[in-house]
Amino acid sequence: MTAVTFDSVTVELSGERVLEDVDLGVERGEVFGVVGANGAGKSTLLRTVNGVLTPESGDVELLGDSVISLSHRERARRVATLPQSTELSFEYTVEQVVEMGRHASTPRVGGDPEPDAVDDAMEDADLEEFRGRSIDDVSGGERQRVLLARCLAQRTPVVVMDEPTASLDVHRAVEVLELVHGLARVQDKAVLAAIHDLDLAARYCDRIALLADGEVTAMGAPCDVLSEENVEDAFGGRVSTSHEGFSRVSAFSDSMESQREPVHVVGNGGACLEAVYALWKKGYRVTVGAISGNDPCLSTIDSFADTVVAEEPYSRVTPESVERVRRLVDDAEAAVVALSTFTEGFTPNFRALEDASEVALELDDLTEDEAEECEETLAKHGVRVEPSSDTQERDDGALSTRDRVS
Amino acid sequence: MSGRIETAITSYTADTSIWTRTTWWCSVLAAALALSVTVASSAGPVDISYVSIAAIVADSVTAQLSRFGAPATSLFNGPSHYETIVVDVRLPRVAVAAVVGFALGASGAVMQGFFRNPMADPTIVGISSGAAVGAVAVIVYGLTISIQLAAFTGALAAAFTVYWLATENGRTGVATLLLAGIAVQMFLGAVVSYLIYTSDDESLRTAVYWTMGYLVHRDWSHVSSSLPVVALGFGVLMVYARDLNVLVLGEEDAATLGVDPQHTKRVLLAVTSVVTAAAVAVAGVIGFVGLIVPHAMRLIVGPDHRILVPTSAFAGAVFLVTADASARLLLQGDALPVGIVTALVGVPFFLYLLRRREVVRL
Repeated sequence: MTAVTFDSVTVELSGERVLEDVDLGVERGEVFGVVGANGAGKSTLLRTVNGVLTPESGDVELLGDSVISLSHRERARRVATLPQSTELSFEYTVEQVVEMGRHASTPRVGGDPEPDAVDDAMEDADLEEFRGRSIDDVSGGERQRVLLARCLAQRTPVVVMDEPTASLDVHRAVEVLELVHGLARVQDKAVLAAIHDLDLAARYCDRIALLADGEVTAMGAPCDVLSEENVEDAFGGRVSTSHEGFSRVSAFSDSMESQREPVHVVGNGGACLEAVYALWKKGYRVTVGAISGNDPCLSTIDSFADTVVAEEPYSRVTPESVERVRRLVDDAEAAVVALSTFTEGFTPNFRALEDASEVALELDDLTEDEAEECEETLAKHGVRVEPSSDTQERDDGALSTRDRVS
Repeated sequence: MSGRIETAITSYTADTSIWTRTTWWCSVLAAALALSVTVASSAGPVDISYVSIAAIVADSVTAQLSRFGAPATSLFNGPSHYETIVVDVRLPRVAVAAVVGFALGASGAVMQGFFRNPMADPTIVGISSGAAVGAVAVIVYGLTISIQLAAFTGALAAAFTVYWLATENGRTGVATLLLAGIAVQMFLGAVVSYLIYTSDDESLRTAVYWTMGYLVHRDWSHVSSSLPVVALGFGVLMVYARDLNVLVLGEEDAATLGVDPQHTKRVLLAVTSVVTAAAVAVAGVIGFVGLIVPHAMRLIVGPDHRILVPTSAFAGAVFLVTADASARLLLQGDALPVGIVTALVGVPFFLYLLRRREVVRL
């Protein structure tokens, strides 16, 4: 049975539509992530599962029953909630707060039918040393773990988490998500979590739904959902993603429209990325190439450059590519050579620079011998290099080139 | 509190189940209550020893129980008018003080949790002012209904009005309730002032005394009309004590932990209102018991309402009995309204807590 089912759920908050026609299902044993920009409706979505909000139309089912048909007590036995924040105005001890997770399962008269639930939860959340400590005397991260333990003490088949890693440092955030991921597997729980950090969401969620303006715009495996296009659409700004090994999502501001005349960068590796990023930041349109298909920085470079001429992995630069690069250099106002490694296979690129009026060099990553060899090779190809060894230009060699041109 | 004691309390708290602690604390406070009742019953113009009082009390209790077949004792063999003085004059007053203190202590603990505010008081939803309007109207206009009934009705009418004002679409906001309570209290205060302004000299005196806490001329009928209400209400509050613990975390959290916040709030508000109204109706307006006692007990036993509510109730009884007795012992008079004593003792203690910043932290 599907643990949580959303059937075209629409939610309005004070007249404003916050969720629109959401359909999704969360299975037991999986961690299902909800990602999206602030105000996209993540918390609203979670709050329809635990019954805090009632949908305007559509239905949320919890283990086969509509949430609104269940009593508060029955809901709390089926779904535990990790709140984003909590008001704790009286000095309860950590243990007392965790114990409140047992409220729905403990009858009014008589003891807790599962007496070890509190201790187990405290152990899982690594809280044993805080047992008798006042909740006011623990740090924000520890408080988050107390709430997590309270959630675990509920021993529910479904867990809803609103920003489980908020106010946790990186190390703790990873620990908490490892724990949650493990619980989903071992105890066959269905976990539905709103996660702000896209990297962590991609690493620990089995599936992800991307939410934008109250609508699910993409859903599925993290590497499919967190494509540059999807993320840019949902969050705005510029994004670079990579899903090799583990997922990385890097966001950049989009405040600057690239409007200034193009600059072409011939390069590879980190040096090339630095040059491209510096130029992009200053508002230039950037073209790049030809670059190896297995260059470690290719995907990031790609997100800042208008055009990238890329080769097949491990192959030499082909004559066709050289022609394309030559056309880009012709269109460009200036050219930059920025290399992290200098190899024989890269040199055909230099032929494309013959006609460039002036070329800035960025070779700091190379050894002295390599740099010398590179400069000789450039000269052999008749490239007029701007006489510059000033590292000030490192950031933006092309700018000074252009200034000279104008 | 020294660090060592704190550590001892912490480890004691962690190792002992809540009900064991509750039983232990309530036994200690019940013993203190018995002691304070005995001492309070000895206060008066006729000098009667503690031993005699204990014997008289034991005899009258077993006499009552003998109706159910238990053997009656006759431990006291002194002058028979001593029995009359203790049983018909002093004990009713002490018993009323105990019942009222118990009611105010329990309701105060619940209201502070309910409002998540350590400044809350059981009369915060307009109960005292409503009771005062009822009682003062009867006194000033010489109406034929009893003061007690008028006060009880007035208290509940005020509480219900406040609740009604603060409820919208079936939801009662705690902050709205607080503000509506203050507004209604102010309005009713003006009504009381007007009633007193229009009164003659004799009723003026009685009316003003009533609003200061009126324990003079209490008899057993005052006990038998308030005690069952208070006892029953206290039972309900104890059943809901755990729900109240969860409710303190905030309504949304409480809902996800299995507590229906609207239902629980309605029950708690209704029961504390009835309990407080029953107390105020027999004793007049007595301030600070419901505020100070739960405060002090929270510092000692912690914020868990399963222990805080009953200990506050017993401590409230001890406090009010002692306050009333000390007024009689020190001033050798009968008429000093107990509300004056509770405020005179309570306010400095409250300020002491405030200076220690405990109040701020709560």
